[in-house]
Amino acid sequence: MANTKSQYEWKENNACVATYKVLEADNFLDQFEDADIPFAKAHSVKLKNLRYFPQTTTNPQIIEVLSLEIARKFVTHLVKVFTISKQNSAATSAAIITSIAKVFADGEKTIRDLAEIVDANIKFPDEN
Amino acid sequence: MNNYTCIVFFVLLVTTTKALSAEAEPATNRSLYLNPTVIDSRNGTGSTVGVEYKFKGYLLSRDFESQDNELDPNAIIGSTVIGYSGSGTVAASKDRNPKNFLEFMLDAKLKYSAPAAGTITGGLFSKYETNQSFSDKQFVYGLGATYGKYAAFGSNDFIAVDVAYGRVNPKDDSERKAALGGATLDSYYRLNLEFLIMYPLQTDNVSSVEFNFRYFVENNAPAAIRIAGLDKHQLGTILLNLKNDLYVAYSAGKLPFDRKNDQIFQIGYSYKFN
Repeated sequence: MANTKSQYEWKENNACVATYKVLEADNFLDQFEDADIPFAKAHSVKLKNLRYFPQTTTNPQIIEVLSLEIARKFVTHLVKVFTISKQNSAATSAAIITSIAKVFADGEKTIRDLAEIVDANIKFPDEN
Repeated sequence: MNNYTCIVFFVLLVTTTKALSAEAEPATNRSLYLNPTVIDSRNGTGSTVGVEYKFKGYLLSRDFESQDNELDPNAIIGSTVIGYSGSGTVAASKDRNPKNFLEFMLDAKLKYSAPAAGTITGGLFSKYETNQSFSDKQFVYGLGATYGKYAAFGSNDFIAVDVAYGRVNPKDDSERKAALGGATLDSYYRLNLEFLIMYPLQTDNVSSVEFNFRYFVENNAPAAIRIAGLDKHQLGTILLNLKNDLYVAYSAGKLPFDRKNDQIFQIGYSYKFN
């Protein structure tokens, strides 16, 4: 059966490149090595396979706290790499970080899903 | 008195829910996570395959943050959440499940996060605990809090502590009944503590190391319970995350409803059920 839901396109736009760079770079989150997961294949990698996701606990409170912490760090690194702004000026910074945190909290989400929520909330230079 | 306390607790939970629902947006965030695993117990009856599961979702969520013009990664984050969650390990052979402790929880909590301080959540919880066969089960309610900090020691480590103090109302607990000599199962107070540290490693084969410790202690346990060793439960796990989504783990200790102290070896990988 055909999948009717349109999928966010993983491509070399600012949102995808920034997501990949912040996750991969040694001086940022360092969640994987580019030799193991090149940009072209990164979109399907599940977040539970990244280094931040715990395997020794299923405690949802701990995972919720962890996801908010890493989402804040993710946005901190994003603003270092790109001159970015909000997609929707009415949205608060806290709401944007929380939206990104919800993706980080779900190990079944992929790097493509993370780039999609980043693109939906953050305006990059190539979108001006 | 126990039933009265239960009623008071649920009135508090329902009142909080109604207060939040006045302006809260219905949350749509739900997740289900399944991990196939092979479990080998040194003192148990042998190896078995199983699935680690966890699920969570929000019934209601309300944010307290103020408006800002620029995207600020240092923004203070605050919210109130009504949520549900569950976790545990289900083995193909329930008699061989050395992690025979399933949890289902409903909670109402406040959340606060600041860049330098870390993130803390806390509030009321009610929880149903059982073993895989549902022959032993208990209801727990009380207060809990969780604190976590990313990059606490280095650039990408994480440390967290989860503490809960609650009233345990045992419905069926075969070991407790045996220890008390057939006496009725009275409610009691229990402290839970969970500690997690994750630290990244820069080696060819191991990407990170994790240590998790869970501790349960009964307050003013009867002598018969202490002698039977049922007043305290603890489980420590160390895990090495390897390349190619594999991991190896070693656990020692036991959780409530586990049959005995044990040493558990696990090897697993992550898999998604669509």
